[in-house]
Amino acid sequence: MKGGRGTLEITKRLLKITGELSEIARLCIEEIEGVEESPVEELRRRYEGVMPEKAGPAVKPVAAAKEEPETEEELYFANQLRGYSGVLAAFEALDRDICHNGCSLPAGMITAQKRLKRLKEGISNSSLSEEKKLRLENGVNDFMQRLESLPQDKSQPCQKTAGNCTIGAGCFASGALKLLDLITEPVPPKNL
Amino acid sequence: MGTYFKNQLRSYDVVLATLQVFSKDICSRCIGLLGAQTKVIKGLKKLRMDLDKSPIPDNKKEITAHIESCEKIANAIEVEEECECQKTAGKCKIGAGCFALGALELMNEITEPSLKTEEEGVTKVAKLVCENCGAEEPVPVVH
Repeated sequence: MKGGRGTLEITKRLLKITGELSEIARLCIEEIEGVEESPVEELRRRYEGVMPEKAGPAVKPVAAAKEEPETEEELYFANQLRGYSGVLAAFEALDRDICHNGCSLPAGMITAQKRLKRLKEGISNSSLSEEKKLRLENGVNDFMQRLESLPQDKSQPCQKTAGNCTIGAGCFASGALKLLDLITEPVPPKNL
Repeated sequence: MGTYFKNQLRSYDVVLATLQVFSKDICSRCIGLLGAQTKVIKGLKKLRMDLDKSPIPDNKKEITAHIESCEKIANAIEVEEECECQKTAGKCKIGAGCFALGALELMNEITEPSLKTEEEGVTKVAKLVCENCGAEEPVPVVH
């Protein structure tokens, strides 16, 4: 009876030691390899890789928007650039998804490119000071550069036809372009 | 399965990217942006609740992680505490439109599938296929 109690006591101590040793071993492994991520953490990280939490905007804010435009003409260009910054951010987000392989994003991109080109010509022909022209043109150039990094192949299949886009009749790429329609004032300059 | 949730999150990705950019401009002091941010946060919360209740078995973890990521981004959008409509403040002169609300309207591009349709689809499959022999029946039948 006494011997049995002694064995029980020893077994209990051994169990405790085993537990502590396994804890130490776990800490050592973590120290060497780093804490292993849970599958959910891994997924979260993957998405955050796609859309970083504190990432700067996909498109830099327009420098022209910082200063108060002095004339209607300048305001027109500044407003347009404001709109394009939103459109481009949307395009860049779409490019990270199924739209990357579609035809609507390149189509939207080409439309935006053409409009921006016309806008740049308008700025160049405007009566604004050279300094203001340069600032606005830099904004346009920045957008043009970003647009060029988007897919350009319009011959790709529509992702609805390919069965990947199941959102219904709508289209994000053409919807994003409609952000420009929100700008209704001031009226475009005559030389545009 | 989970198409409803995937489509919703697809559009949240676009809306959030757009709102983030607008928050770097005059919209950072705009009540329109604050309203859009609140709507997105509430929408994501509802989406998460719908997902919890949903019988959709696949990819729940993946969808949850995506929702959480969107929530983080939505909360990180910088809007000043004291804000007012920038049209009233005389800073926003684009006309009657509002960029923040316009960005939010991108959500309206999604018209299919509705959550109910998708859930019904799942329930229908569960009811019609026999677990034992895989036979299809219009009503549950023990084979």
